[in-house]
Amino acid sequence: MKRFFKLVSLSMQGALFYRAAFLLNLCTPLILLAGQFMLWSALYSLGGDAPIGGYPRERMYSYLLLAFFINNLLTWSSENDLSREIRKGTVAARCIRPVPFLTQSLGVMTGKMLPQALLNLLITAALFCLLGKRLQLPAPAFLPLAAGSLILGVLLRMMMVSLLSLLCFFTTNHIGLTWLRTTLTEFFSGALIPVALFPGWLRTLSYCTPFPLMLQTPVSLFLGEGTPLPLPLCFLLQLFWILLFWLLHEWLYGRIRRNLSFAGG
Amino acid sequence: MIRIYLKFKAQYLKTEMEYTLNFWILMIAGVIMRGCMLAVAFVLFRNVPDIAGWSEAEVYFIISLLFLSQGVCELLFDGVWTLPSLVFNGEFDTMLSRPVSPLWQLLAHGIGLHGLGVLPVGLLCYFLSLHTLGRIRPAAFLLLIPFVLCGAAIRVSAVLMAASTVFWVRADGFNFPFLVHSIGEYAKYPVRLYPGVMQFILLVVIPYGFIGFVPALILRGEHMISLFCLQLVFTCLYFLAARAFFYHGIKKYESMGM
Repeated sequence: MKRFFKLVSLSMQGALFYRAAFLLNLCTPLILLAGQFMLWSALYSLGGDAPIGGYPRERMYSYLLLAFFINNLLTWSSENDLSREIRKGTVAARCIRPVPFLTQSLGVMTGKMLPQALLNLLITAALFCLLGKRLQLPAPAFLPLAAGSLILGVLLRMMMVSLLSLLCFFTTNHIGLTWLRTTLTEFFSGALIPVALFPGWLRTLSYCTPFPLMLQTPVSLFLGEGTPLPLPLCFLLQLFWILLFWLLHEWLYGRIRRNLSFAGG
Repeated sequence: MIRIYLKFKAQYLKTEMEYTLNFWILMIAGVIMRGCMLAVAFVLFRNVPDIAGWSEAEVYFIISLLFLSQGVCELLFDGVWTLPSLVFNGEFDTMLSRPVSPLWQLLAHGIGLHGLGVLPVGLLCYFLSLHTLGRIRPAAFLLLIPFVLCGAAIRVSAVLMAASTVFWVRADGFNFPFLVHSIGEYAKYPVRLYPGVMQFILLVVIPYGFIGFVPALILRGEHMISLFCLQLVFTCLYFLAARAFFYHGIKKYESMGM
């Protein structure tokens, strides 16, 4: 664990080294959040404030805020960083360290996530305070469960990112991998539009994937909504997918190590 | 100049096609991304009957023009996205030292093969939406090319202006072109839906509204001639403004050294 926290600390220092870029990069999700608010505000106004898909205006606004908080915890630089290291050959350092490859990936992601999480929390809390009356506040009784689900959801997402990053060993095109991952994650997790608004067949399809467990489930718990699946099953599924991604990661990394060769000494 | 452009593109195409897996990953990613964008609109319309009086087919029509212009832009002018990294890595100096316009070189730089996946999706969406609206007419086919070309020019100009800020704002890792592009993507819904500030942004500052919404108005029959002329004139002016901004930025550029 000591090594993990050391990696987290190093990664955090790297993320905060270019403070201007770090703060400026926060503008993008904030502006997109504002755009989302404008879009849904207009849709509700046009519909005479009637609920859309069972979501009253206040709950939708709260959903957007919470989705912003969770969706922007992880950046999409993991594939970019690993791909760059592979092309330069510095990935050798990762391979020879006495720390498992997955632990290093998780450490780096956690380090980058923590300052982002703190900022997201401050912004979300500030917006909840400012817009309090126009929002549905999180249900206090469900907060511990929601927090637990959130932690598992974030870990699940990090495991998926670590697994898909390994594909950078097979292709120089990390951009395509990143696009694929972020698009599918954002759509099926409910970051763009709540999964609860999906037609029945699409909702069923979504819940066959791990994506709704990363965002929709924790947000539903925060808002005191019911989940389509029983709560214990949701937690079990999150653990199941984490385990599955871990096993796949170990298998794929084993194959990569057997076939990996470095140019030069 | 066209010959030089085509030579550049040929070389980049050979480079990209050397790794066929990369090509297929990009193609599939491009198609899936656009599929998810359409799926968001699909889900929205399962919950609302229309958006500011615009039907589902009309919104798909707007989205199809955004796809088509993006496909053309990616295929032919993907290089504008690389300006910030070229400047930070000191590779922009090479462009300045060649006896060819740096803007032309930038536009010729790289090739976005994912555009090949986006174009068929856009075309399919375009014709299906027109068929649903019952507007398969000669005008729809004739106007497709100028709409797409104007759309591509607007996209290139917006990204070029955003990327040119790298000459002033030296923040490594800040992706301003992506921010501009993301804001512009809100033009996939009818611009009239938004409050005045957002309409101004989408029609003047980041005029993605001219890519899909204005052509949709033209095909609806609203002020056809005047809107078409406005689109052509505005596209030219916007491109000239982006070009001027880019060259102004070059004057501020301090080389990283050769």
